[in-house]
Amino acid sequence: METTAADLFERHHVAIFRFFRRVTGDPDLAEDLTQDVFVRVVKALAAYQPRGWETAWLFQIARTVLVDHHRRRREPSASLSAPEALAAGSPAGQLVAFGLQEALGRLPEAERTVFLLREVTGLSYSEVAALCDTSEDGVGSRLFRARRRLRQLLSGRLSVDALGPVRRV
Amino acid sequence: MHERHLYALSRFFDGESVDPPLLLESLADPEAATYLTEWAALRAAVREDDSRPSDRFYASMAAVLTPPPVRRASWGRWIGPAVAASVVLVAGIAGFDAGRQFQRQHTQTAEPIRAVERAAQTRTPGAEQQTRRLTPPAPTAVPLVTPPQPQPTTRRPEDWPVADTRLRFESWRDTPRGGQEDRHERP
Repeated sequence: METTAADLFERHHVAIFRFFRRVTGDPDLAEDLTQDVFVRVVKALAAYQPRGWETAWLFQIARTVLVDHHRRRREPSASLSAPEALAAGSPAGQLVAFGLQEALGRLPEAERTVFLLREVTGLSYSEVAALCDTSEDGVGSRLFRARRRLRQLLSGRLSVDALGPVRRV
Repeated sequence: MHERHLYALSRFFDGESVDPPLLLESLADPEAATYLTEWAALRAAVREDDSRPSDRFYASMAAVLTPPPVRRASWGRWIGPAVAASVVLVAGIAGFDAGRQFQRQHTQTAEPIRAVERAAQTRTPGAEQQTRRLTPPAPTAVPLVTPPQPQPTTRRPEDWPVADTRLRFESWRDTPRGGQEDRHERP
């Protein structure tokens, strides 16, 4: 069965939007970048061969869009302001939302991208490595460093008690 | 906690392969449970995101994802060029006809060619007019020339010129051995 751009959009646009929102901290910019991804998907769909996982293909495009965006702006991504962060999260996550977005904004770009690709999309190390042009060990190191740094930045806020009832991961 | 143990725990947390003895060591660390719990909380916080794009986004995406309109039938593509070719053809025929009419009108209004009534005769002053009949020139006489026959030589061998051997003799005498043993005068 042939995959259409509308099918891919239906299945993945929310995940891509959330990834961009986490990376940039700006919902409007995340919408623009998500739209850019699907514009490219429509153009590239004729050459797309569904050999691998379509999520990996889409996030490869998303990563290219993100890199192009950073090249155009030539500045690090901004973090969410407090009202946006508080409005964005669900009630359970609002307690940590502002601190988490702040902490993510302080991570080096390479570590933040690898961390969010892994945590938001659930891609494996090998898939993230292919997207980021690095090795699986490189992905493991970046993830490990990102987690260690986030733990330092969010000291005291990452306890289960502070978060309340946590969904099953 | 040792960094090596943290790295192993991180891989284990992500479902990647880890060396079992190293994992056992890592899990035995008293802080391992704390790290795993905090990472789970972090993952939950990152994934606990029910934000969605705005309506404006969906409106703009509808235009992106809508397939392009069905193209006209194949003959429809030829309508434009056919009309253009017809216009050019009609314009060409009209121009040709107008040209012919213009030419015809010019031909009718031009003065008809009159017959020659008088011809001017010119004569170069001082030049004698050739009136007599020309006669062809007489054929040219070509004398027959024969090459001279080679004459037999009357010279005898005694009369042949004698080579000058003196010079050769003098040259031999100037050599290192020359003239030491075999010196003799030329007769």
